[in-house]
Amino acid sequence: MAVSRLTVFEFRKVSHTFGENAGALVLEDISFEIREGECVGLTGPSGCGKSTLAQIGAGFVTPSRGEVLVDGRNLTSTPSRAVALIHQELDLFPWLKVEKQILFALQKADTSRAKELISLVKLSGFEKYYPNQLSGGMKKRLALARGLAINPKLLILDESFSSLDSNLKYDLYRDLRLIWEKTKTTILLITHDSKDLQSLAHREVKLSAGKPTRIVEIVEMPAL
Amino acid sequence: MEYYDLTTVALNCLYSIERVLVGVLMATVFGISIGLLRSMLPRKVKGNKLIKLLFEAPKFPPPIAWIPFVILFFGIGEISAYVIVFIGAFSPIFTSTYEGAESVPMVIRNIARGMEIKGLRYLWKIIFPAALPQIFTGIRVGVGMGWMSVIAAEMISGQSGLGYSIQINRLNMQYDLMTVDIVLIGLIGFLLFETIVFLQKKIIPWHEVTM
Repeated sequence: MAVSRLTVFEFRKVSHTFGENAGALVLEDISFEIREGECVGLTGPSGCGKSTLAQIGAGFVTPSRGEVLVDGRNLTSTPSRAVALIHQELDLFPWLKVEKQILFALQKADTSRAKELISLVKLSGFEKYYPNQLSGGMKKRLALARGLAINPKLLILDESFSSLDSNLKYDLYRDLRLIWEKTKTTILLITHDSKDLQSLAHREVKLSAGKPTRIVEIVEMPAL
Repeated sequence: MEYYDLTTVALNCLYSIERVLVGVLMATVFGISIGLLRSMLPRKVKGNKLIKLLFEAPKFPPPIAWIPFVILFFGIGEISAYVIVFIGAFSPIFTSTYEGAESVPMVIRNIARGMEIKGLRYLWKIIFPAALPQIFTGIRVGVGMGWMSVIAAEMISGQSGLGYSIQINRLNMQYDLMTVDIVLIGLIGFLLFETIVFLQKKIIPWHEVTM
């Protein structure tokens, strides 16, 4: 499926050090771009700094060096609606019901848009449920719908489904593919398992295992 | 028990309950507001030892120690009773609110930042609801402290209420009536506590309460 050539997101020479006074360098010289409507997979072994990179991408962590560009604008360490991050752990607002959760994320309260998104992630009928009344898979679907409601330039999924059992995980990846086909949202999908990217990602950015972590290679995936 | 006057006992109960409700309500409003605002202070200011001292030290003197000053400033009467309850209930509510606000998980904060929610909207829509379970814990403790404080205040300077009744019955050596007062204090304290638990279940049904 064809993807636009327009770059919407870019990591430019991002390096990151943990600890003060030249502490441990964890990420070194990470540079890659994501084109509009593209789904890019970011893979690497556990602990290599993928989540840190996701946090840097979303503006929550300031990199020691380098920049994060969204639509050409420097949004380094600037959290904004331009990038939505769905965390590995549960990040829903426990006090908001499903529908309210979506309405809250929308810039303007639009009930019909909320219903549309709820239906997109197959949560119709659960509008009045609190997150703690939903199953693990449903919570992830809700987080996905909320991420879409923000209408970001880039949606980052940081091992978002990894806590689920494998059947449920692949169901969600299949649904994510369908959602991507409908919405053409630009996605950065972070996972430690390359298999998760099958029939979903256009490219795979592979990170190295050693410290500091670097990009090993960027692989074009089979055409979707 | 021939002196037992049901109307007087009921009125004393109502006086004490009214004082504790007014005092706790004031403490809830101020404790939550100041606790939330404290949580919004810059990290450097929050970590300053002098600022910590200013916020933390006043909660250690027991409410009863404030009674002479309260009478000095507000005289003997209802206002003083409200203020004593306020002093008793404020600290647990304020402390729980502040600690609840400080312990809002980073992922929740980040999601809100990513939605560009800032300032008072951030405080009201994110931090306050996220801190509500701990705020209710503070209110439960605050009601207990307020109830104990009002009884103590009535024993020292009251002209009505269950604390005053205990004092009068003690002077008249009516230990049976004193016992009735003490049992009523226990029962009403329990009912006040259960009322807060009931309200908590209604207001934050998304949070499981195990009591």
